[in-house]
Amino acid sequence: MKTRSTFSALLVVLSLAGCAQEDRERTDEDYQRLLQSHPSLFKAPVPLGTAFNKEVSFLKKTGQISKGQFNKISTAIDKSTVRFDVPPAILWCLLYQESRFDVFRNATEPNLARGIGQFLQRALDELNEDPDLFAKGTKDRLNEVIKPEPFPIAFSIYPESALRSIQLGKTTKIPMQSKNSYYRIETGIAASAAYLNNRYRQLASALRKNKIGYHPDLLWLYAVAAYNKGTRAVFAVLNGERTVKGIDGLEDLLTNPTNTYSLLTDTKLLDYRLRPIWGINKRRRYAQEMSKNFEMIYSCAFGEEK
Amino acid sequence: MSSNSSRKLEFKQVLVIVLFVTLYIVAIWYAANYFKARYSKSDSGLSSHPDFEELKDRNPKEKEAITSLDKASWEGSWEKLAQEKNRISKDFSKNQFKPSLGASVYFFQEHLESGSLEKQFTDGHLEPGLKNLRQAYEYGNDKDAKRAYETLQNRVENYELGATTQASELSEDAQKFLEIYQRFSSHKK
Repeated sequence: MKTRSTFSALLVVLSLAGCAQEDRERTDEDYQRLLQSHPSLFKAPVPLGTAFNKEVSFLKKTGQISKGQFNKISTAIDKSTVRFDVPPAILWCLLYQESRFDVFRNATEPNLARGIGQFLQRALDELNEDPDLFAKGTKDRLNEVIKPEPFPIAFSIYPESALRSIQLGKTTKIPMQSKNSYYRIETGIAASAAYLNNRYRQLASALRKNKIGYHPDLLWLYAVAAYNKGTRAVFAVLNGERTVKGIDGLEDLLTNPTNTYSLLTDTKLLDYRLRPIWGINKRRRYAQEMSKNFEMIYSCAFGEEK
Repeated sequence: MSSNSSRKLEFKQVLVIVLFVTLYIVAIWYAANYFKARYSKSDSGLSSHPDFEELKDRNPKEKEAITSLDKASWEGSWEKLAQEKNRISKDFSKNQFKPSLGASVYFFQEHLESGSLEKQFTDGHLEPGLKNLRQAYEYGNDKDAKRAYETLQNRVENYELGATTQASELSEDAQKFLEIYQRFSSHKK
């Protein structure tokens, strides 16, 4: 009883401290300066992590990716990172995590996430139906990739007999797909980059609205988590941090890679933060997947194996 | 003599089995309590805070409010649904009741704190989506209403689940929200 009342008092003090911090003034200029003050966390445009490089060598060695295909992927990533403002190392690691660069992954399974960026239909719908919701010009940029073909970008495969080859795992002889097919390397990568950029913008806009400082490179890791598990889950995690530690605590988390790593790999804490959204079984699974994915992306993109 | 000793043996055997079963039960009970205590330690006592309220512990007042919105939506009048929402929201304020985060995001956005991160979604995506749906529905254009609903559904699903997670994982709040507003995607009953 005593512990509970002490804790409640502590919670009130923390909340009041949080409120007080929220009232602080920060000019737009100061805020911009703060965002730009962080040194880059990416050591190289291409991932340096040993696990990533070992696996890529394995994929090449076993013929799961041909040299030509890998070069195409590399070129498409370069173009997409410029087009959609995504850091190259992040896009490399995301596609590696989602599909191991398998352009046709789950292509014969309409109910599963498919293709190089593991999209469900809803992700394509966002880009087809609501393309400029997060970033103006997204539709035009996607149009540059698919023209002269029209929207929508779809999970279309040509010819239909290719489905059989995919089932048999013989994808090397499948002809090039139409420009508006998600299974075309350039289109799949561009669509995945655009969707990831949307997640980043959604997070950044919420933080900017409250002038909460963050490390622009580190926020990409949260964007990858939102790509994979939804922005709501990421907000829930960040809200929890703010409730307990106030805005300073939240800023500390969003600017400090070590703190971010500790939080996003703590399955128990993640599970706890997701309590208001999902029931016990779903959120435990979610927390475990979130943590596992984060660990992989962190070491892949920043080249630091913990 | 021999039958007596075999009876004794049987008794010993039964005793051993009973002891074994009891020990087994005690061990299971101890292990269950140990893990329960260990797990609840990570809660750090925050469970009483509304932002960390467990889904299953929802306040009955909030459940009742959402059921009431659900009922109002069946009448097919957006105005009535809005009135009901307004009434409940005022009631919450009057009684200083803070709805859970999920209920605030989808049903009582005015109860979100001013600095809430979710406001980016509710103000920027949800409210404009609802406005479009209401307009299309009240103009009597089923085709536009269906399209507006689909856009709204898409925004909710992408917000909740990202690109790769199945729609079956939607939260209860989001499911209820979509269920209620789907009724305004067509005038056909």
